[in-house]
Amino acid sequence: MSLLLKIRFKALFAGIKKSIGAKSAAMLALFGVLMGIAALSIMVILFSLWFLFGMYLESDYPWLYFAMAGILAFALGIFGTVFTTQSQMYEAKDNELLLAMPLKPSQIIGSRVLMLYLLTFLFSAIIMLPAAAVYCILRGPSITFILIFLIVMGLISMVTQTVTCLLGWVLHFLLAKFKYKALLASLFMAIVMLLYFVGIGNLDNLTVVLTQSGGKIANAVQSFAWPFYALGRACTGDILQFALFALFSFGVFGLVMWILTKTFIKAMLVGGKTKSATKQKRDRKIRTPEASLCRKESKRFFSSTAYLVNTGLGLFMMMALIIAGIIFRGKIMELLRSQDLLEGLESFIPAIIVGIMAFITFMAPISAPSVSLEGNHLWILRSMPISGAKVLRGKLRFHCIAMVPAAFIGTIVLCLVYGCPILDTLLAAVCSGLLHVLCGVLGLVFNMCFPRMDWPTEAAPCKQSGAVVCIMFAMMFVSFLVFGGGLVGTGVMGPEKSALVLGIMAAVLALITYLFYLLLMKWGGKKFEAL
Amino acid sequence: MLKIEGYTKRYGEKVAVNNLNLHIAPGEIYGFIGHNGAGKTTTLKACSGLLQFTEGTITVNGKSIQKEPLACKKEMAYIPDNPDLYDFLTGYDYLNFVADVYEVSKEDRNKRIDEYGELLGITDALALPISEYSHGMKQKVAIISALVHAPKLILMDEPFVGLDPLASHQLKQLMAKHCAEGGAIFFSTHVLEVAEKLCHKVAIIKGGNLIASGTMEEVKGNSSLENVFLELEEKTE
Repeated sequence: MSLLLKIRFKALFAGIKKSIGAKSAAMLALFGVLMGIAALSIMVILFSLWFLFGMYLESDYPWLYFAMAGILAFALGIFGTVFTTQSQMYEAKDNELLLAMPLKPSQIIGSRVLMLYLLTFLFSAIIMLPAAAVYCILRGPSITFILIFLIVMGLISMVTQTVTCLLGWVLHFLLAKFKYKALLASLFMAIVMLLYFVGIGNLDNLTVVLTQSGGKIANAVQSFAWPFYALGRACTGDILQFALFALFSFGVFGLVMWILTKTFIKAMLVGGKTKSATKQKRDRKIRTPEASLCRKESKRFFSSTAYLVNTGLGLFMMMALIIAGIIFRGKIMELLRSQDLLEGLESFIPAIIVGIMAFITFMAPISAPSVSLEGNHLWILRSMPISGAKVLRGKLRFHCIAMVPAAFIGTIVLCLVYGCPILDTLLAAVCSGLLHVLCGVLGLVFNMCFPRMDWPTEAAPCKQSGAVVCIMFAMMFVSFLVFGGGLVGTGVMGPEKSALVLGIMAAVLALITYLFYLLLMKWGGKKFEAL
Repeated sequence: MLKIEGYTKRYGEKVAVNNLNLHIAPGEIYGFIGHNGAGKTTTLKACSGLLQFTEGTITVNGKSIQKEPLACKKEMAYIPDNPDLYDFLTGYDYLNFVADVYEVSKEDRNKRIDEYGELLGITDALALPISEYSHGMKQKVAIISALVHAPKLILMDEPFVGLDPLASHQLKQLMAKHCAEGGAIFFSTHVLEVAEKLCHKVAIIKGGNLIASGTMEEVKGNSSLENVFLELEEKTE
């Protein structure tokens, strides 16, 4: 197993080295700055949260402070690694190769779980280290506390990894026979995201509940979530609970590893043979090269769980938001009016809707990993009589077909439901559509800056690539500009000039999109041909 | 049809192929032989426009692969040694995709897919996703995709690997037919018996250097190709 681990670490470091080596200093600096901003934002949010929960330390149940940290770390770990676990455990390219060697399944699983454990530990650290830092600020640091806390952090990561492995195992067996597994997985993620946004939307109420109902929460955790109670007690110096929590962590970990080891070969053999495939009608419709490229992209998008889940959530979220916007029209209007923030509220609505559509773009960076996803298949396109620019146009076309009509129609529907004037409605729809075209163009530009062709699983270019990170940050920035620009512009120029503001916005977006499109076709096309 | 003149490929300090000169005429099956890492795949990839190079010229029907890559690619097809096809498509989807890109008419693609599919014994499996194919089945689909647009020149890297005996036999027939109709084939192989029986001309490469080339008779004389190959390998060590 030590050899397998050595290989995995070697692959990890080689990947990092290659990724760094392939980037120019400017690109690395840009990537570093974006990562720095993200880390700083997360730290500010988490420190604020732990100072707020610091009140538990003064109550009769100080352990609840650490129990909350454990629950959040557990939730983030599960959310962040369940699909990665499933794909790395059961869809890794070298599984068959390793099984053909004189290696025990436990050794293969052990080496994979350890690498995944490091990722889960990182997620736990993101949540728990600020909690420990705030505790030390409020109560003063001690060697004993730091030591116990670090061990507890390792143990909760182990519990999280155990549950993630179990979920990944169940998911693998469930999805193996299911034809539309990518859609099912995306739907699951969309529901989780919706719950997350509902939680964020009700953060004020949630905070009040969490801070005022400490006693009830403490009782509930103690009665129904004992491991977190034990974790909290361990951090506050209860050695017995510490020992019990450690025993529990190792116990469930061992049990789950035993189950995974015993079923690993069976899990490798469950296949999704398409029984009725021979009856499938032969589709011999003639298409233009670009239309055929676009169709190929759509087939890839809808058949890959990693691709659909990581870049297609925006599509589901958009549908959900449009439906919610229609159903809760009355409540939303009441809320906006009650805030008394905007004079001539109706004139601001198209800009607000465009802003919402803009925020969805960074949840739908479909084009951003599309070049990287060619991976080992790159030879097919490169050996064909088709220019790099044409290939990129095919990828952009699919991104636009997937996102632009939905954004355009969604904006029109919402504007009409909220009683916006026709001209404003049309201009807002054009802005929404252009934002998604810009997202598609920029995604491809970033992918040509950060191509990642030698990935072990499709999840890597879809969620751990420079292109996806950059497009998400870029579209977040654009969204803030569009949202703020729309509101400020309408406010400054007056509600009667709202159409003019939207027109200017559309013109600026069209110009920026066109300039990046030219860059993509000239520089990007050449770069693709040299990949 | 295919002219390679002074082709040199370097990877940093290492010279993968050194000053290679070859001419493959219409109607010829040209075998390319050498041990692993000799530079066969590097040469085939450069000919197909997959690999960029700075020294030498490669032309297809008088057009330079460096200056007019798309015009060259229209006239040829390439089959790699390990055909990684789009596993999210079915065999039919993949062949249609290739036919669309090469703008093959409906009649021609239907006729060719049916004909080659039957010949290689893969028609029944073409409706299945490629993810369910074996290596040999992928190889068969790659061969059909290479033939679907009726190219003049076919570049093949170890085309017989993974094929069953019947498909292997059919492929040899297809190659002979293609050349009889005026096409040309440049392919690499480790199976010297196949090269000896099939090729009009042969080139032997070692460490990036061409050590022998010419018609099969010129290269092997009265001996077998295997003996000549082994002798040449020893001589140049």
